[in-house]
Amino acid sequence: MDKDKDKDNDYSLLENDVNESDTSFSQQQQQQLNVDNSNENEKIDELQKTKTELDYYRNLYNETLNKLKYSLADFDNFRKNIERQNSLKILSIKADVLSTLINIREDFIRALDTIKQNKIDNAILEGLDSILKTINIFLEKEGLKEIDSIDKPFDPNIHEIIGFSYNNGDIDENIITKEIRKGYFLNDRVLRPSLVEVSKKIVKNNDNDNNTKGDEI
Amino acid sequence: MSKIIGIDLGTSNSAAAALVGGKPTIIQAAEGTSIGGKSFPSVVAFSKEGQLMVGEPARRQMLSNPEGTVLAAKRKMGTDYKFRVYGKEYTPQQISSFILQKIKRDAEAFLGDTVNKAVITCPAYFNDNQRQATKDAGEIAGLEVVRIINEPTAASLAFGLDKVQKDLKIMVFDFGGGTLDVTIMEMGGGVFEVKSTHGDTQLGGTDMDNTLIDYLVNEFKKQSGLDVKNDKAAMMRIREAAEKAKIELSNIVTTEINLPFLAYDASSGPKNFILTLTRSKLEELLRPIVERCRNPMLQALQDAKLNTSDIDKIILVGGTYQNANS
Repeated sequence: MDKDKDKDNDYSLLENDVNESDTSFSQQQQQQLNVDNSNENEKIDELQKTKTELDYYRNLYNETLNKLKYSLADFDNFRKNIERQNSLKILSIKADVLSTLINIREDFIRALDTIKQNKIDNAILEGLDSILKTINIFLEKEGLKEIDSIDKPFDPNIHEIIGFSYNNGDIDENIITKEIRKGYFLNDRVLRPSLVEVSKKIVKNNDNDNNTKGDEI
Repeated sequence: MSKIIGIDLGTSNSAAAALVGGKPTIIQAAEGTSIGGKSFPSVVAFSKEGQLMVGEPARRQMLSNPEGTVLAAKRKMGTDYKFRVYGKEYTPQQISSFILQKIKRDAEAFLGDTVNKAVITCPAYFNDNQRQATKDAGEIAGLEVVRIINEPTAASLAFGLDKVQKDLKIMVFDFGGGTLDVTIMEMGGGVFEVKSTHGDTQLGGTDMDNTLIDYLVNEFKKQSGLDVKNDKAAMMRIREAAEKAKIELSNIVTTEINLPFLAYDASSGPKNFILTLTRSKLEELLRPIVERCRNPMLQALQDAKLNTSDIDKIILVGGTYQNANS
């Protein structure tokens, strides 16, 4: 009986052991699960962090790329501006030099015209004409062109009125009758306008109360 | 961001500038007085057919179209005056806006970008009406006028006086082509205050040019016995030579007027005009004009209740100051 009792005890102990072992297993499992969960959470966190970082760097990349694109466009504009301003500067210096040369050429033409009024050896005249021709070819090559004036209608973009030639109406108004100083184009721009006289009809002065001139000048 | 341009809306001439690469750069006018020219005449004109002209083309045609040409609209700014041109009426603001529109176009072509904002200068003596009218002119031209600055203040800023770490009493001597403006200002902490302003609206570089031209015409008459006053071509050459000599004598002490075949005498043939001009001779000729600058200066000082010794800085601006300086 006692033996049986002991046996029972043993069983119960065994059962306890088994129960204990069960508990320990489930705890282990739980722990393992907890560890797994925590690992997973860490991984999710890490993934989330990586994603955030990736988003940040993706944005940074896009922003930097945009900035680079804008900078390149700005630089391109700046380069074009500098090029345009440099070419304007070169044109302006060229204009100054050519203006001086034009005056020398015109003095030469005056001298030539005076010489032609006197009797002079043809060979000398031919030589002087040849010098003028060389000057003209050089100026033309540099982009210089005379502005046409005589008998043309006045154009304020290329001519400047400094006087009038009065007539009875046989010539239309504002037609250039005399060129006081020759004007020139440098390429497509006016280097200096022609100074001209234009035709004007002699008419009776009617009362005109327009006051845009008067004290304004 | 579009650039802000600075505009000198002058009575006789106008010009504009912008910061290019951090440096103030004058905007070249499309049809300046020369290629690469910087300023242009403040002239607006309408042809009989209604075509609008601004600047050089307007000036070139004014002799044949005085009734269609408007000059010096600035003098009427802030008043109710109307310019009547071929049956249409224009306010001074409208006329000025045509000039500002041209500046806007030139600036856009020069900078390669749209321009919507501007700072415009005006004389120190402009009242609120005149300043508002200047602002309105800008708005009509499609420019947001971010500030109206006094001309002498703009000159002082250009010389960096706002950066000086002490209070200053400044005289700005602005000697332009047609007018003289003297302004006394006080500057403290980068802020400028106008104390007085005085001037002469009938005194400028043109008077100096005319004095020199008269002298040259007389000298030629002495040399050749010929009077070229009515010879337009000869007068044009003398005028150009006078302007050139005046500029040269700012840097060197002697220059030569060299005008071959200036005139033709029926009995004795062609006449050349060769004359050596010294800086001292030029100064002697211009002295009466320079003397006329004294009174506006003294008056401005008196109005500001200051003596000459109180002035810390003198700023010289305007195209004529180099001659006045002598």
